[in-house]
Parts: sequence; C-alpha cells; structure tokens
Amino acid sequence: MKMTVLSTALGALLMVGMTPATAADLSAREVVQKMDDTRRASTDSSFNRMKLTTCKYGVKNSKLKCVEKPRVKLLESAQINMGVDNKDSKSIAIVLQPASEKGIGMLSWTYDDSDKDNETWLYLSALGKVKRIAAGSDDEDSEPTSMFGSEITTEDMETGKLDDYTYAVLEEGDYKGRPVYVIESVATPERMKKTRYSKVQTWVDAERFVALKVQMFDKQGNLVKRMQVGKMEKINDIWVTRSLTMFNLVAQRLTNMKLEAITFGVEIDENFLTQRALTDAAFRQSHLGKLREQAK
Amino acid sequence: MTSILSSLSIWFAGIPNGLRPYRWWVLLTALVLTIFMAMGLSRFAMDVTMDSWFQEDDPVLQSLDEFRAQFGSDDGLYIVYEAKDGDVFSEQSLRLVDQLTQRLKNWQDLDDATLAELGITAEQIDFLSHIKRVQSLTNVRIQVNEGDSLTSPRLVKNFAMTDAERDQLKQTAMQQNNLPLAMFSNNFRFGAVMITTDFGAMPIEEDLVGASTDFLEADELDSFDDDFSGEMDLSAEITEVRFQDMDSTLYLGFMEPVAALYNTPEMLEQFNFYPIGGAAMVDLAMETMVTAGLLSLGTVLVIIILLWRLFHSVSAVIWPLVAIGLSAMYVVGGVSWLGVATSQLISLTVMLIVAVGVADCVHVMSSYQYFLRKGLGHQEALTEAYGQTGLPILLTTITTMAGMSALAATGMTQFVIFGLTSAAGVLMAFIYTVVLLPVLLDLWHPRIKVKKGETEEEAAQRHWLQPILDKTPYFVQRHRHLVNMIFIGTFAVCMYGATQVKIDSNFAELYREGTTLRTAYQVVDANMSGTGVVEVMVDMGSSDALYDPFVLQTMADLQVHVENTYSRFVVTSNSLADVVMETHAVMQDGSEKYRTIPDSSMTVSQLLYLFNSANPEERRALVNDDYSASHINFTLLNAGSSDYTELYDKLNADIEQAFAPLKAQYPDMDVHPTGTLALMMRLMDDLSRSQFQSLALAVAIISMLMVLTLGSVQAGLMAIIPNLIPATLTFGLMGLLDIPLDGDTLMIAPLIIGIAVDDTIHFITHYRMALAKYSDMKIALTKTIKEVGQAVTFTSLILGCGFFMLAFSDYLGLAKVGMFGSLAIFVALLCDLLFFPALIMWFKPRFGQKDVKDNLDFKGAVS
Repeated sequence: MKMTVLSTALGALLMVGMTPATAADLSAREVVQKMDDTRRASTDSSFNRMKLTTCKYGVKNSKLKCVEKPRVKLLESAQINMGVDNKDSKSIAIVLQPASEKGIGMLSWTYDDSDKDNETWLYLSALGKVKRIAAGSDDEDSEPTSMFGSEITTEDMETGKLDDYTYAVLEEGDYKGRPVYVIESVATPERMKKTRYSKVQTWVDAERFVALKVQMFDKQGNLVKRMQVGKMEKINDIWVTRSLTMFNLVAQRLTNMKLEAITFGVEIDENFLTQRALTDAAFRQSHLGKLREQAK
Repeated sequence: MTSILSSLSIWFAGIPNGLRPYRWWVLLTALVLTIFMAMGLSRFAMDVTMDSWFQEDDPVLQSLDEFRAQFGSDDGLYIVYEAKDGDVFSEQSLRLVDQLTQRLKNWQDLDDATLAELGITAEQIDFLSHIKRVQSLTNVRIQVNEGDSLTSPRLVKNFAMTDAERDQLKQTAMQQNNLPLAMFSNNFRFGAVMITTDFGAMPIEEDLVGASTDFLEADELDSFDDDFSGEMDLSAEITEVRFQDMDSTLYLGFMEPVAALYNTPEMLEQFNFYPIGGAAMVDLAMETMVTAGLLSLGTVLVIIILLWRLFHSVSAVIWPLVAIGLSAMYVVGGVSWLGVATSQLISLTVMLIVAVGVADCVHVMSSYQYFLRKGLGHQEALTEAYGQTGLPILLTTITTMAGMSALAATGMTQFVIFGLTSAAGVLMAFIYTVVLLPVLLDLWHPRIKVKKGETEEEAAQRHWLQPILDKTPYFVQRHRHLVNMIFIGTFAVCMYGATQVKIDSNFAELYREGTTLRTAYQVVDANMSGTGVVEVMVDMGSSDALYDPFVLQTMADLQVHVENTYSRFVVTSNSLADVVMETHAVMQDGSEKYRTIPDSSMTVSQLLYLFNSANPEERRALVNDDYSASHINFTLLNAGSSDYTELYDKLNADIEQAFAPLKAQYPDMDVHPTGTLALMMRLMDDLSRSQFQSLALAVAIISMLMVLTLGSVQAGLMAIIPNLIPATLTFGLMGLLDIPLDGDTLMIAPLIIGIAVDDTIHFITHYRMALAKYSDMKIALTKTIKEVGQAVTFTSLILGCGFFMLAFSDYLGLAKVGMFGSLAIFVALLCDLLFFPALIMWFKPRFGQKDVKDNLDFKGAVS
C-alpha cells in the first residue's frame, strides 16, 4: 500500500508556468518536457486548502449536473522541499470534512535518493492510531491508488518518467481561445506493464505549458477517462490551475478538484511535518492556525 | 370426414402429373429462391449469451445486469495446478509458477523467438491484453504488522530455501485468511494462478463519449462549467454505459495463448493443469463440440449408407440429402434475411429438419418403390405413392409444426425463435416433398435392381423386408393378448417411472467421467475452494448504509450461518464485512481480538477510507460509490440444479430472517441471491416448466387431430396410446434407472418424440384410409402393414441408427439424446407393427364407418 498521494495532488494543482515561451518549432518530446518542468517547479513552502467533490453525473440542458448528493472532501496540506537541490520533501495533509473522516492525516517524507525508501504515516482519527506504511522497494506490483477516495488516481497525476512514452504532435492550433499542442503519448511496452492506459492525449497550452485537457485510453483503445482544466489564475507570477475535473466515462462519475486557497512561500516549521502533527490535535491546530494566519 | 380425406388423397395423387408440364418452371423458381436464400446466409447472426434467453425486463436478468453494472464481472480464469512432486512450495514448483506468472503478466516482454518456440502468433498474444491482474503464490503479498509499521511483503521471497524455512513459509501461508484453498490446497499439493480479466466489463464503445477527433473543437465536456458547484439535479439524464456481451470467439482466442504458456514440456513435467472459469469452460466445451460435429457427420454418413442399402439407388440417397440441405438453407437464410439472431438451438432445428426431411422423402420413395415392385410404371407408381403418403405427410407436418409452435407459447425469446424456425423448417421439408421431389423424381428416380440371371418380375418380388411384414399380421393375431399385455404393462410401469424423473442439470456431470472438464471440476472441488459462486446482492437503498456497523454485522453473521449450515455446498465466503474486520485487526496491531466490526460508523468509515485509497478498483468491485449496495460472495462445490435450487430457497429464507431487524431502518432494502449461477438455475426452472407446458400442449393438439382425422373418439384414443408409449418409455426408463433428465435432454425430448410419433401417424392414417377404401379390416391392416410398414421400418432404421451415433458423444447431454432418441424411434416402430394391430384386433374400431367386415383371421393369409 503506497501512499504518495499528497505530493502528486499538489503537483497536479500547481501546474505552473513561469516563463512564457515561444511555441514555435518544438518537438512533441520538448513540449512534454517543458510541461513537466513547469509542473514540478516550486511546490516549496506551500500551504493550501482544497476541495474534492465527487458524484455521478448526468446532463440537463446541455449542462453537467450531479445526479446524486455529491461527496465533498475538504483538505489542508503543507509541504516543504529540502535536501540536496531541494529534491527531498516533507508534506502533510489533513482531512477537514466530512465529519466521519475528519482528522484523518497523512504525512509523507520523500527522498530523491533511490536507495532510500519514501516514508508515509497514516493516522485514522477514529482509532487514534498512526501506522507507518512501508512501501516495498519494487514498484512493479504497485497499482494506482485513489486520491482521497476520488476518481483521480495517483497515475493520473504522475510527473516525470518521460522515457516511458513515445510522443507525437497530433495537432497545433487554437483550442478554447488558447494556442495548444495536442500531444499523444503512447506507452512503451515496458510502461504498458504498469499502466492502466495504453495512450494519453494532452492539450498543452503552447505559451504557459500547462495541460488544458487530457484524454486517457484503456488497453483496448477505448476512451475511458478525461480530465478537463477549468479556471487558471496567475498568483505571484505563477500560473495556477484553480479547478480541474476528472471524468470517469465508464462509471459516469466525476471528481472536481478545487483549490480554495493557496499560498506560496509560507514559513513552515519542520517540527510540524512529524508524526506529532497527526496524533496531537492541539499541536496540529496551533501550527495550522499559524499557517492560516500567513495565508490570509 | 371420410370424403374430405379421400378428396385430399386424390388431390395429392394428382400432384406428380399436375406438376409435370411446369417442371422447368418449378426447378427455375427453386433455383432462384435457393440463390436468394443462400445470399441471406452471409447475414446469419447468432446470440449465444445467456441473456438472450430472457426478456429484457426479466427481474432475474435485471438483477444480474444491475450487479454487473455495479461491481463489474468476476469472469476470470482460475488455473489450478497439481505439483507432481507433491509440493507447490518446492523450489522447482515456485520457479515454474513464477515463470508462468511473469509471462502472463508481462506478455509484452516475450520476444519473437520465445513466441515462436511456444507456438504463439502475434495475433494470438494480443488477446492477453484482456488480463488485468495475475496472482499466484510467487507474487501474492501478505500484510505484516510490526510495531507501528504496516508492510506488505511478498509471501515468497526466495525460491531456494532450507526445509525449515519452507515449513515456516507454509505455516505463514496457512495463517493468512484469504490464501488457503484459494491459492493452495491444505495438503500443499495443489496451487492456483488467478487471472482477473475485463471479460463482461468491457464497455460498449458507442456508449462511451467518443474521443475528440476534431482536436480543436470544444465538445460537451469541454464546455463544462468552470465554476463547478456540485449542484445536484436528480432529473439530469444519465448515459448508462453498457458492457459488451461475451462471445465464444473471445474466450477461445484468450485460451489459446494462455494454454500455450502452461502447456510447455517443462511445465507439464512438473504439473498437471486444471483450468476453471468462463474461458476454460468454453475452451473445453469446444473440444466436445468438435467431437459432436464429427458424430453429426457420422449420423449423416449412417443415413447415407442406410439409404443406399435400403433403396440400392443413388437418387434415393441424393434427393433426401437435397431435401435436408434446401430446407435448412431456406430456414437459416430466411431468419438471416429477417435479421433475427438465433441461438445454439438452431442446431436442433437442423436436426429436426434432417429427421423430417428424411422421413418425408423415405415415405414417398418407399411407397413409390413398393408400387414399382407391384409392376406399376414410373408415372403410375408416383401417382399411387403420393396418393398414399401425401395425406399422412400433411398430417405429420401439421402435428409437428403445431408441437414446435407450442414452444412459442412459453414466451421465452429463444424458444419462440426456435419453435417458429423449426415449424418453418418442417413446412419447408413438406413443400419440398410435395412440389420439388415429384419433379426431381421425374428426372431421376430409383429403379428395381435386376441381378444377373433374374427376370425383372423376380427382381421386383425380391425384398428382404416384405416376407417379414407378410408374416406380421398372423404373428400379432396369435400373440395379440400377450402383445397387448406387454405394451400396456410397459406403458403402466413407465407412466409410474415418468413421475419419478428427476429434472436435474449438473454441469460437470453432463460430461463423461474422465473427460478433461469433469476431471477439472472434481479436482478443484476436492482440493480448492469449489467451482461455483453465488452472489448475494445487499442493496440497502440508502446512502452510507454500508458504514452502519449493524448492517455489516448482519452480513458477517449471515456468512457464518450459511457456511456452517450448508457446509455440504458452501466452502468459503467473502464480503465487505470481512474487509472491515481485517483492516480493523491490522490497524489494531494485528490483534485477533480486533477482528471484529467496530461499534461506531465513523470507525468503519475510516477503515473503508483506507481500503478505498489503497485499491479503488477492488473497493468498487465490493461496494458501490455511495456505499448503499454491496454483495456477499459464497464459493460452492459443484452440484445439480435441483440441489442448487433447494439451496437458493433456503438461502432466501435465511436472508429474510437475518435482515428482518433492519427493515424498519432501511425500508427500501433489497437483499437477494444473484449471479450467473442464479440465472442458470432460473433458466433450468423455466425450461422445465415450459417444456412440460409445450409437451402437454403438443399432446393435446396431436390427440385432437387424431380424433378429427380418424372420425371417432374411440379410434382417436386408441391411436393416442401407441403415440404416447415412446415418450413414456423414454421418460419412464430415466425415472426407473434414476438417470436425471438434464436441461439439454429435456429441450430435445419433444423433438425426438415428435419424430417417433410421425411414423405412428403415418401408420394410423393409412389404416384409416384403407378401411374407408376397402371396408374390410383384414385387407386394411394387411395393406397398411405391407405398404406403410416398409416405409416406417426404413425411416426408423435410418433415423434410429443415425441418432444412435450421437450416443458416443463425451457430452452426455447429447449422448442421452442419441440413446433415448433412437430407443424411442425403435419402440415407436414396434408399437406400429405389433401394438397397434393388436389393439385393432381387440377393439375392432370402425372409425364411424358402417358395413365394415371385421374378420381379422390372418391364418395362412399372405397378400
């Protein structure tokens, strides 16, 4: 059981683009590389609050609506990068809502050094227990896990691993008023073993290098999932996606991930990113209070 | 009535001469129609899924569809292997199982040389893309709780180990909740590789939102409101995604590369393999189908040989075969043009066409040859033959069509199609016999073979059967009491036997002992967790109900109760309650004390949160997204449908009782057994009921027609008894010998009985017509036995021997049809030649005629 959910969630939301680039004459691989670079850039010292809304959807008056009571999850998370070249990280995520899951927390320490296992602690508030979830060193059997019970899996949000795919530009032009590259990434035979998707098509903003839309195909070539990016905002000269929606086209369910608040460059006490923050409610509240102050 | 029958006979007698001037038009029309129908064959479609047996609004089907939509399909492949060294944990066993696991999992890595060595083509290997997950002893993980750490290492870390280490490993494996019996047997001799596939859960492409083809155009989802607020609108339209039906091609295509991977010399030296699951079953059933196909060819061969032996004429062999071929082609072509998808029952329709086509032609040709021997010329003999046989053929056509159409009254889609196509097939054979056959016989007809040194007259007199038939009336007269007693006695005993027939389909026992499929079932039942699965759908009708500890506790209690009470069938059970208990124990340092359902729904919710995060797909296969519906899975040993039906009834009662206390809180709850097995049981039930109904209806129709044709109730009733004997004898013997009547045999029973009854109808009608003509019982009976006796003996020999070929099938569903079918045919022959004359001699019925001579003394009489 691998719990590397937090860093991927943050990575997904902070699809930032700091350097406007000229779109001309880039190969598919170069476009993807640029998108990946911007996506990874600076998640440091961030504090945010995000809302995950999941429901079965239907159509009315050409608008998508939830056809059941949506499940809403509210989370707060903080992350600092550290180590050599800031490549290691420590992060924490705490569930605020719903009431039945309130207080569930996850603490992750990730290391760039591949000899060093990443560490994750999970805290279930109803049992008052912390468990260190030790992931096996072999990646082979790992299956994509759901992010906080939503339709978004860890695989949907993975960064890097560019060599696992071959790329082609399918189209260039204007999509919803933005210049885009439509890139198709086909999994290599090696990658095929691990992935649920045989290929992925990504609409990449040609100036901001942010994904605007993603289509995921299963191994029989059927379109099974789609991600749609909503509102984007420039905060501190960084392009931030405030809202994205993942559609599971088979289950007809969607998850909307909304960044309700994000603050970069906050001061986070390293002591906060320890197990104590999971189990000691008072300790946790005091630190979160300080972070919320800074985020105002 | 007599005058109508006479007029009809005269009309039939006039057919050959009437058609002669138009014969080229008849042939041309037949040719054009044949080409048209042959063109329709390319549109032929078959629906072999079980769903096709039910109306779309059938609650059982809806329940299963709902189940599939909710939890996906569990139609995987379960390859059980037996280690020849007696230990699935031995180094060699583990090494080879690991190789198989890796190859199945990472089939893309197999290079061309390896594929060539394994005999797998690039096309075949692609079928493995349906594999979603492979689990075996060498990659399965276990939960380990050490201090504050939760790890999930592999059960087997190294293949080479000391004996002590191996014993320790086995001990660890035995301690796991979900591994014994699922992954290895208690004596470690058997192991299993579990393959999860996407069978039955592949979405229908057209139901999915199409991928954007115009990449720059914004579609419905593109314009999705950015300010998503999670607004709820229950009236919004949901596009439910349906899943593709499984067809046998996919199963067979999948089994080819899988079997090639485990059937290597090295593997076979170490293991015996017993695959179980949809794909394996279809694959093994296919082997039997191939044998059945060969046996059917054998049947046709026997028919050809007998036609040749009996008529000594090539035309007598060719024309019945053309009758079969054309009738079958017209029916299949016709349904194809109409766009109707048929089921595997179409093969039964063809079987019926073979029987009816051969019978109709043989009756005409036998009669024709009889009159040739009597010295008539070709045209006169043909006229006589149609005069004698036309009416009985019409009557048998009507009764068989009525019997087959009666199936349509069942309302079961496939039976309606089967009944109507079969009726059409019988009609086609009739039209062929009265329209095309006289023209064809004009062109080419059987002759009397003249041996060397023999005059034509002598040749005409020489016939092996006629002397026997000549002696029959006197033989019956001498023994009439004995004959009547034997037949009536047998009828009575068999009537009793028929009431004792057990309708029971045991899937494995439909195959002969020692066949691959039956052995696989026996091995898996004896050593692993069983071959059947029953799912209990738990739909509480209210969101988050599955977080309620009381609901989970009720499920857990039901599982314990069912496992203990029905241990004869039920081997293991699994449900969301088990997941909650397991996760609870794990979170509480692995303490067995906590292998319980927690008291608070918040704790349950958090434990399930953990489960969902770790494996959303597994969670979705166990409980739906709003936690209102889940299911309990019970694995079962193979049993017969009657045992299963009883189990279902008891299970329903137990469910009712267990969930009763929750009714007040969850008024909309619906808990019931479902799954493919439930559907099969329901199908069996429907089959038995509908077959009984259609049999009863067919008997009623035939009896009514008999009474009408024979002109008196007394005679009608007298004719019905010989008609019923073949049926009661077959069912009676099965009842007395304790041979269960399975679904397949049951389905074919009315068909076989119909064929057997046809000859009796020929016999009785002919007698009735002869009595009207000669007003003399003795002459009527003698002529009937001599003229129809020959045709009836010929058809009985041909069809009885032909069908007997099927008795050699490994598939007992077919073998029983062969055995009991040919038995019924031969018994019907004895009824016609012995019992019916004996009854006439007892009751001397006049069929409403006056002035009939009833001197039935045959002493010294030879016609």
